[in-house]
Amino acid sequence: MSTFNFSRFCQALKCQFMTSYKDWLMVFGIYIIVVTFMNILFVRMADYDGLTYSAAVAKYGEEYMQTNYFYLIKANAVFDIIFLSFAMLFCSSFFLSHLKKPSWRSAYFMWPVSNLEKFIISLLLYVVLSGVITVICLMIADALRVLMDVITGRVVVWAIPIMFDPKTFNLGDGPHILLSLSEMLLIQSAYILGGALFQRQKFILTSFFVIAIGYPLIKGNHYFYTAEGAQSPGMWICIVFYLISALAAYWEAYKRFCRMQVINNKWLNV
Amino acid sequence: MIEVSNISFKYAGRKGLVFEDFSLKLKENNIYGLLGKNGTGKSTLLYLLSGLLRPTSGRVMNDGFDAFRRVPEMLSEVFLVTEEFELPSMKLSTYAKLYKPFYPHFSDEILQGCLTDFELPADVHLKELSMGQKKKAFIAFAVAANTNCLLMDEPTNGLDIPGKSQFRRVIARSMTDERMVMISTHQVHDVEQLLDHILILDHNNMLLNASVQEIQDQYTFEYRSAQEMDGTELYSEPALQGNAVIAERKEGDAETQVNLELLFNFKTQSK
Repeated sequence: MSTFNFSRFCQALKCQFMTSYKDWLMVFGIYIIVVTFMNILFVRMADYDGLTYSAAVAKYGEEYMQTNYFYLIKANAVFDIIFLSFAMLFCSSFFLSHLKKPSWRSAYFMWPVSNLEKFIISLLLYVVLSGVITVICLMIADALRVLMDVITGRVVVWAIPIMFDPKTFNLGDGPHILLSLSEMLLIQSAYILGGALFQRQKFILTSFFVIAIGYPLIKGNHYFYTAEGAQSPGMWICIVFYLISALAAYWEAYKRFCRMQVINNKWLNV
Repeated sequence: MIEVSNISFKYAGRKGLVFEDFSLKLKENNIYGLLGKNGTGKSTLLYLLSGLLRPTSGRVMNDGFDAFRRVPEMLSEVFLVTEEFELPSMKLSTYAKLYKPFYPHFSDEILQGCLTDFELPADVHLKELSMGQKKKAFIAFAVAANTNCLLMDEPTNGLDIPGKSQFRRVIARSMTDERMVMISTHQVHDVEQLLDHILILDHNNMLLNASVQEIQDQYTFEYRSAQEMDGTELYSEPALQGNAVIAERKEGDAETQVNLELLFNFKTQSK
């Protein structure tokens, strides 16, 4: 019995992608419209004491407007990061959305592909592909906003470099960035587990548990290691704890997936 | 081939067991007809056989594999045609090309033959098909997958009148010594001539588990007028031709064609 066969996995990935790519294209289109609209809204809604942009440039000077525009774009970058996080978590909690209906479930479970292969394919599509799509959409939306700024004679400030600059969010040095990343992975893994555990209202229920349990836990740990000083052993313990917890959540989600049945009227997949 | 050993099964949140200490053996080179009233567990049994449901106790072994583990080696030898199904929005030929590598015995020749029988072109787009045509396409793929075990839940529902005879032809032609087909249906007349083993399910009990030959050896199915009714009838129903009757077959009596509807009513009413 082979739990993982590479050629079968590749063929299954191809099948799953071919049957769902139209849905992903639709997601892509919706994301671009939403993010572009929000990006333009951020810079165009700025109030210059009731003046138009060109009148404000004439009144305050080019340098002031450049600085002002940079802060607007920074706020825009924060929105983009929130959008990316939300999209990633939402897609994570829906990584088994192709099992919503019994008819979909029966076809999927009867597909001669191992549970592990199916699970990895779902993660690749709903976590990796959705993440890549979201980032590409943010880039395109940023480019469209810059293009509009160029056409209308405004200063050019790109949001994407600001968005991926650790200084923007005061993430600190290497170990602190690692800590933030491990926290993000832990939260994301909680949504994967929620997606496999809850039959209905996956995102809302998982969010409730993450806010009720995960957030106080992370905050409590934060006090634990900051009390010991920067880059304390406590911080490394937290990083290891988060990574192990994230792996455990992924493993449990996989076990839940293996035990799924075609008909399940319960709220929880147990 | 498939061995169901002492299984119990209950749906969560529902009262009562669907199956309790239920056992069954299904062998290759047979077309089983699974009959039963609504809610007696026919679809549940098909789901248990294919590993889509997990028995609360007992085991379902499919060719040596625990069905619920759903290992690819088992799944590549089992095809379940569900009553409700979804096909992706793509050409039938693309669908077949994408999914056939998962079935080691898949036959393009059989697929082509089935599609010809069902009067469907191979390059048709699945989105353009009616529900009945989609079902024909799905059945054609299921048959062409050439799995050792083919399970079908109400396969003739939604098929047009020629579709039902086309279906019989397709299934009869696809039978091999290694293959086991199980058809769960209420449309007994659609599959009557196809079946060679009858299972009548009534909740936890198998009211009948016999081959068509055994049934023909035991009973005669005939029409009798009121004057011909002699008290030997095991079961009778008024019919246009007089009375449809099941009687014990005596030595020297000619073999008669099984009337499945009559047999079903006989078994369910005399339980």
